[in-house]
Amino acid sequence: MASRRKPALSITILYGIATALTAAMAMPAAIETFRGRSDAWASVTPRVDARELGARVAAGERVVFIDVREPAEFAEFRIPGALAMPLRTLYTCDLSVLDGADLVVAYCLKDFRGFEGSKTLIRRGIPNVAVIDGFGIKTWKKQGLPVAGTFNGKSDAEARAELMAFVGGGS
Amino acid sequence: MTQLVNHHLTVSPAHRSLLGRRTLAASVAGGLVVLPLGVYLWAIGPLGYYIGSEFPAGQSAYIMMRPAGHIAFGLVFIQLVLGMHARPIGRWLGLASMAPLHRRLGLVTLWFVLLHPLLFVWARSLRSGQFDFIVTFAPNPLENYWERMLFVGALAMYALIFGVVAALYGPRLAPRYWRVVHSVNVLAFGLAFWHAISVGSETRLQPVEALHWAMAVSVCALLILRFARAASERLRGAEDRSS
Repeated sequence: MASRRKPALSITILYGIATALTAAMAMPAAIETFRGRSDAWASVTPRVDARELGARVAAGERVVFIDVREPAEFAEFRIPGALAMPLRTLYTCDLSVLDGADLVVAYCLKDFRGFEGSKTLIRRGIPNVAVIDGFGIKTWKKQGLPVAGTFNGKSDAEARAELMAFVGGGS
Repeated sequence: MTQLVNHHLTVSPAHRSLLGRRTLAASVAGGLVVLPLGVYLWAIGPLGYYIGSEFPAGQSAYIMMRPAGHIAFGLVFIQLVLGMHARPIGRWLGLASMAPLHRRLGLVTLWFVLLHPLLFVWARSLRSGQFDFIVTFAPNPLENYWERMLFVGALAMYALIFGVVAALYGPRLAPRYWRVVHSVNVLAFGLAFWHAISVGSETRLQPVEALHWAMAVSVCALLILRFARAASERLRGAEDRSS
């Protein structure tokens, strides 16, 4: 009889750990859901409108786009001139390529990874880090701005020329 | 046996050895889950950051989705090991049957496998301001690479649900064949591995990547061992019948 009770204790511990982990994982999102949206984060990581970014690129500012997605995603479509730096590489890679940048914009599809990328860049001391207002390359595309990649067969140079024309046309 | 039952009077060497083996097993199993979580915590920085409001909508749910995935993957691996070699492992751990542990751990595993995409749905819904579950539960593999890998993960989840339901109801409905259907969980592991290695945030950071590959290779080796054991038992049975 005593040996039959032992599995029950370990099962209770197992269920208890699972419940505690679930509660711990759900808690931040639950707090966020009930507290409602807040834009306080934008004071730390500014949001910049996609078209404004395009205009700043066209004006000759050194805006460096960091694509934190996987290489296969980067190859499919990307903001023209973006650097492929998957999120997992941002923690330790050499960031000297960002020296002197007027603005550094980390992005992904909807900026879940993009925001983590921007947070990592700030943590590593990179100044002037921002994210795309509306989040990610999806917003960039939704606003009609051109992308390069295998999906549309455009090179970075072609897409960049299109960006200059698009921004210059003011459409 | 009497010595084990009366452990509160004396701790016999046999009991001490059993406790040691169980502690070792629990530590190894725990390590498989804790190691990726350690790398995750190193990657994201202070976790308390996500209790405040200094992040865009949905970011906290997205951040918590990642450890849920690590835990789920580790548990699926443990379940495969326990399931494929239940008898020798049960003997080593001094358990009369692995079934109760395997069943209950299986439910916990399924829970974390579901929690991973549920947190992602929560994240996407908070980010977009509307309930957004299609991309998570019915991704389009033709859309782009990322959605293709989400599709692989979704397939893994559905295969696992199917395998677990087979184990829950199969013994009653199809006592001869439910194990065959339940073994779809091996396929689920393979798909989950592909999904994790392709789009996981920590799964290409060492030592998590090495651990994932070690788990995948182990599952292949254990499968081969399982088939070899089953074949040798069948051969022995055939020889016994013929003699």
